[in-house]
Amino acid sequence: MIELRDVSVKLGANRVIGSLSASVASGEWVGLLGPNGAGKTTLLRAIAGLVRYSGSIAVEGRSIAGSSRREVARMIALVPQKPETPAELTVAEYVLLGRTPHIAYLAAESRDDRVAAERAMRRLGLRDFAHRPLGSLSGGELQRAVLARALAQEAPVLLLDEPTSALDLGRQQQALELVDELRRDHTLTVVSAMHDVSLAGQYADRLLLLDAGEVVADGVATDVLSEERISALYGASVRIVRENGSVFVLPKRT
Amino acid sequence: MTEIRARGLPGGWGVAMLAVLVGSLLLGLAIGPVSTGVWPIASSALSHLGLGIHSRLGATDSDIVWQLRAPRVLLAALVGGMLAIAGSAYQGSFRNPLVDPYLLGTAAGAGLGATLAITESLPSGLLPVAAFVGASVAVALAYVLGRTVGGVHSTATLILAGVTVTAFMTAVQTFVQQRHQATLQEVYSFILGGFSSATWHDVWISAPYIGASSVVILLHRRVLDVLSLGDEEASSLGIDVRRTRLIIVVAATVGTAAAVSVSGLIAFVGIIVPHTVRLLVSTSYRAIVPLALVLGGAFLVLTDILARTIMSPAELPIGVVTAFFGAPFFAVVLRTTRRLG
Repeated sequence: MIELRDVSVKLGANRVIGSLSASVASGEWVGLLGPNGAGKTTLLRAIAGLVRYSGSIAVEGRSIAGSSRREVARMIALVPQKPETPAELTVAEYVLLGRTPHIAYLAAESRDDRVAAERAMRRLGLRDFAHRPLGSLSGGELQRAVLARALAQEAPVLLLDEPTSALDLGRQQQALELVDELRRDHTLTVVSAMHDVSLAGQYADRLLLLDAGEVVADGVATDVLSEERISALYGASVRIVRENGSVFVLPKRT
Repeated sequence: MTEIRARGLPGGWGVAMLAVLVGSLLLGLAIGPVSTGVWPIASSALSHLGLGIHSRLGATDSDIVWQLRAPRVLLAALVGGMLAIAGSAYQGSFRNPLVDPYLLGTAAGAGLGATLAITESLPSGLLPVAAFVGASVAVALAYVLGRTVGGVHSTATLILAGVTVTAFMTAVQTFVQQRHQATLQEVYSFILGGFSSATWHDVWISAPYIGASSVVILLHRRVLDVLSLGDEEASSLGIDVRRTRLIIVVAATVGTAAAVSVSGLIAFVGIIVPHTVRLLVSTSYRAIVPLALVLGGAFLVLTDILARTIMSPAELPIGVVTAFFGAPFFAVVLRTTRRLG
């Protein structure tokens, strides 16, 4: 479980996150929504211990600020929006890099690490791609390789920054289904920043709406997604369609 | 089912490049105004190793080979290996394929330090220290300048910063050199670079620094692959990026300074050799780092042979030979890097 209390982040002179408190239960999937610049990415980076923050962030009761980089990396796997994927690296090598928090600083990976990497690749249907260079993969395959690396990290918390932004409609759904399966199989706690409000509402258990670094709504999609709120938050004109417990947010030209 | 593993260092390439190194060492020992042939030298070398093999080298030849040529050849191997492994370390830690000890200003800084040590008549034991101080100042300047202008991962910016620092350091070095007429000859021949005056003393004073620096870089070869994912992702994988980069850069700088202090300024080895390994073998630092060390040694031994035989009995400065091959090679690397974006 992730507990954020009075978290503030300043980047230079700008206060990007202001006094934010929230919690995420173990095994829960929370979607972060908000316009560009609302602080979604910064919040994820703060949870992963990559930016200085004031206040407290704890995962399973352990403070992020008080843990070493390696300890944080064993608790939290982060998939950035645009992961660095060196073209010549093979899928196997790339996924093995995910084992870094479990490998002593100057050591080579052990058999256990190779087994874990193989398990992650198999889980994501990449076993036959093991020796393919990353540069030869399609967008969807690359996305799975990145997820495999995060899974190989064997951290209980998975942070995803816009996991579907580079994918077409079908691949977006497949990727999110996959994340959901992984979450259930491995009891992962997932926090994902998302652009697509409808998809976020359908996959995440709960939505956290951010504006200018503050939480403006927190709850299940059917409760928090309303036409007024979306138009206020994004400055967009939308129509909301509710069907079988799902909420669809449709952009509408005025 | 094959097991999942990183390609690492392909054994075949390791053996092949070691063979090239041993071959070039033997060639370096055998070639010179006095012809001795390779096999007598091999037998003499093996007898020195106490393998119970009788040396077939005469006493005079033995002196020529072991007192004149051997330190020269070994020093070239040490310096070449060091410049190449330092090049790969800088390239990996700055995530920039075009940096090398020379282009970053490290070598020029070491040259300035060494020049000051000579002109100020410091004890010769302090020359490597002075070279290291100069080299560190240069790297720090290039890094800070590159970062303030446009980020160190921008290939062009860091190179331009390095060029700027090199130009400045070289200007100061030339000024100091010209102000001290008495040591002009000594400084000039030092800066030109080369192994013509190499002694066993040079080998013994540089070997510990070069050895220690190489070991530190070799130990970081997997970490260098993690760094290729960028600072943010390497951090999220549990690497303390700033500390790691500092360790690697300090190691490379110490080794470079030691190499420069015994050989002068020899350009392009740190670019040519790691890139040759990248093109031939693998882009993983697990392969690049150890193979650059071995191939760099062989490369500089062979270059030194060229430098002393092409215009024999006159010698070409070895820096001229490496630049002659290195500059076109650099142009090719620059082109491919640009194409990759």
